Formats: sequence, structure tokens, C-alpha cells
Amino acid sequence: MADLFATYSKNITTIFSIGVEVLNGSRALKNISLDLKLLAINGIVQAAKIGTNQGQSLITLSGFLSDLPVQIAPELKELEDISSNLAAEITLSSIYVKKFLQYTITLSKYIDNILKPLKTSYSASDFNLLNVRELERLHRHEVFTRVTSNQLQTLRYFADNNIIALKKINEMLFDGHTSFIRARTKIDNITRNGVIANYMGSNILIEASYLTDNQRSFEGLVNNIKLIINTLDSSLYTIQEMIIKGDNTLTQMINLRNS
Amino acid sequence: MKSEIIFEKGDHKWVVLGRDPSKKEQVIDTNEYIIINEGQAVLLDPGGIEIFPQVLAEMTRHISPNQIKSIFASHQDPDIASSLALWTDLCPDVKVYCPWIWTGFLSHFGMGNTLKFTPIPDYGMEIPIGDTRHSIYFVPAHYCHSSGNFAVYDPIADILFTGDIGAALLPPDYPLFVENFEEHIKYMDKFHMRWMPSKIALQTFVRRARAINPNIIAPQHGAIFKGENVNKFLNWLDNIEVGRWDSGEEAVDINKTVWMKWKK
Repeated sequence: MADLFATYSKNITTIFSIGVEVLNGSRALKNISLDLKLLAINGIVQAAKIGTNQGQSLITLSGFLSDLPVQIAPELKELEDISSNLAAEITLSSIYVKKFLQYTITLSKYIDNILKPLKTSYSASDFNLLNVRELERLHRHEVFTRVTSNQLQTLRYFADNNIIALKKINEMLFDGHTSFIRARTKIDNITRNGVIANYMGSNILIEASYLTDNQRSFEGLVNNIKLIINTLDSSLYTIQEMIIKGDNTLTQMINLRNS
Repeated sequence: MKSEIIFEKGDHKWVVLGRDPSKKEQVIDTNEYIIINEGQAVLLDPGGIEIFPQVLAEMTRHISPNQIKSIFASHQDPDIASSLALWTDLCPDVKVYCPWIWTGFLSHFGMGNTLKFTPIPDYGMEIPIGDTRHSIYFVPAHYCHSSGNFAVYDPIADILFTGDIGAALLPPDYPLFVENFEEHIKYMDKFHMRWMPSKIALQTFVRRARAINPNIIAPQHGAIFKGENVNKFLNWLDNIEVGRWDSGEEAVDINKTVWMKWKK
């Protein structure tokens, strides 16, 4: 039982720190998006200086590229909002879990107190007090037929309170789970835009290779675009990994309650 | 956590909970009191989150949680009231009394819930014990130590609960009641010197306590005063120097080297 408490408590702390990291990570993406936009504008300016047909196609490609940050801006904003909600949900859940653990310790102590005079081999550690079904049938366990009616009433009072608390926590954990899924969907969308930006960068490089004079400045521009896209990819990957870890831990907590 | 009945007459009872051997070492020991009348209870200074399970489990030896009708918080400190949200979740109909100046501050202990308080006005208050015909009285004890602070007097038991007034930091296995007052002073004086900010406020409170003239003075930390020790305690309280955090000039100079270190 003590191990279960420790795991439950550790899990919520893990999810709490993940929620904060996801929020910070999604906020940092905004800067990357701005850098990408500035580079694309720089590309348009460079292409405009060329003044030929090739310059015109480079302007068009850089224009597409500069549109991408605009397109992903709402996605980034939504990701930030989801992450912000997620952090708030997780914070509240962690407070409720801590409250619930205090109630569970109380119940555990109470069970030991009322069983002690009975000289039975049973103790609180024989019951899974994090499990709703076990809490529901606790008062019907044979060992409690020997306690007084007042004690049985208090036992049910505590158990009922813990069931309510667990149900509340579970609702909150499910909300967190939903937010994790929404965040993953947003990240997938942003990643797709990253792939498109990368493709645009490659096209700009191909088009620039026909240039005789300005080729090198476009090479530098495309390298910078690719660098930013790699940073974006790696940031998204890190956030995605954190979300997967957080969601797995959260699911483990929900399963623990249901098992 | 241990509990002991310190007063019992008919269906009126005072229970003290404390001296918890299982509490973490860094958590200061506290006394929680329950006044029970006709099976309805008032909980005085319910304690911190850390000791909530111990307090509640021990309390059930005497009453069920649904018998608690009121909770009183003498002031805003975490060892007094940080468990409030846990109590109000468990006993949703309970009425929580606290000094009016602390209602907004104590709400920070809500842990996701909105705590509802009945504010105690500065001059004090009379409240019934549940729906019985018996009352207890909140006695002003401002600046002893908190700027909004109350003691509780129960005329049936003739007990004055004083919160941090009379608090002592005791060694393990110290008796529940003060046996030798002169010996006991050394456990109280440093606490009062540092935690009590005003001699005038303490002397004002002593006058109120003398007007009440209780048989028992029950503090929130340490040992309980009874009989002749009540008077000895009030005399001592009337004369101590408080509002001091250091004992000599030399110590002040030494400390100066810390907070002025940046000027080197």
C-alpha cells in the first residue's frame, strides 16, 4: 500500500513538471516561427534585387515561405492555450491528489486503530485504498463485522469521502488526458507545416542554383531556413515526447484507480 | 498522535490531541482541542496539512467527523489552519470562524476549493456549540502574536484556550499539564520573546484573562496550565519583555556582517 501511495504521489509530481515544460516549450515555438518569417522576408528582399524572371520565381517561393509562419501562428497560439490549460488542470489535479492522499492516510490509520483491539491478522495494508471498488465494499469485509456500529459508520464515512475524491481526481485526469491528445494533434499540424517549409527551402536553393551572382546569399538563406526548421522539429519532438510521457503516466494513474 | 480528555462533566467534554510521536521531526508539535457538548463538536485550531491524518484518525476515538459543527482558527498561521480545506471537504456543513482580517489570507489554503468563513469582529463573538443552548466566547488577543488573534473561553469547562499565548517548545515525554511552573519557564521564554511582538498587547490580554479567571489555560503548543499555575503563568506573562529577536549588541553586530556583506 505504501508503495502504491508513493507511486501515485510520484506520478502526479512527474505530470506536474511535464505540464510546466510543455507550456514553456510551446511558448518558445513562437520565437522560432518569428525567425522563420524574418528569413522569408529577407529572401523576398534578396530576390527583388535580382530583377529577372528567376528573381520573380524566388520572390514567389519566398512569399509562400513567409506565409507559413502566418499559417502556423494560430496553431501555435492554440498549442500554447492548450498547454496553458493543461498546466492549470494538472496543477489542480496534483492539489486534489495530495488532498486525497491525506484522506487515504487517515483511512489507513483509522482502519489500523479499529482493528488493533480485535487482535486480527488484518491491517490497513491488506486493502487497496486507492481503488474505488475496494472502497465501496470495504465495510462489508468480514473483519469489520466485529467493529462497533459507530466505527463501521465512520469507516463508511471516510470510504465514501475517498470515493468522491477519487472520482473527482479521475475526472480531472481525464480532462488532462484530453488536453494531451489535443496538444499532440496541434503538434502534428505544426510539424506538417515544418515539412512544407523545408520543401520550400529546397526549392529556393534549386532555383537559386541557376543564378550566377546572388547564389551564395541564397545558399546562406536556405541554410538558415533549414536550421530553423530543424530547431522547430527538434522542439516539437521534445514537446511530443514529454506529452507522450505525461499521458502515459496519467493513464497509469487512471488505470490504478480503475484496476 | 495521543488524545486525552481534560474536562468531562455530563455530556460536556474537552479533548486535547497532540504529542504525535509519528510526526516529522521538522514539524512543530501542536495541540488541537475539541469541545463536545451533547454530541456536537467545535474544533479549535485544527492544525496543519502535515498532521491532518493523525488528528482526524485520533479524533474519531471521541467523535465522528459529521459531529463537527464548527471550526475555529485563532489566526492565520499554517500550523493553525493549513488543513482547513481538508476539513471542509470532509465536513461540508461545518462553519469556520476566523478573525475577520485573515479571511482573504486563509482563503489561500483553499486547495482548489472556495473556503467560506464566518469572520470574527475585532471585539469578539459568542457562538453556540452546534445547535445546543451552550455557547463559547471568542476573546480578543490581538498582537498576541498575530495582529488579528482570538482566544476561546468555555464557561462550562472554565477553560481558556489561548492559541500561541503560553506556547512552549517541549522535550519528548513532557507531561501534558505543567507540574513545576518555574521549571517550565525555560521552555516558553524564547518563544514568547520572539513570537510575541507587543508587551502592551500581552498585558491587555492578561487583564482580560484575569477578568475571566479560568481554571485551565490551554495553549496550542506545549503544556496546559491548571489551578495555581494559571495565576503564576499570568503573572509571568504580565512582566516578560517581548518583541525581541536577539539578546545583545554583540550578536547584532555579528549579524550586520551578513546583511551588509554587499558593501565590502
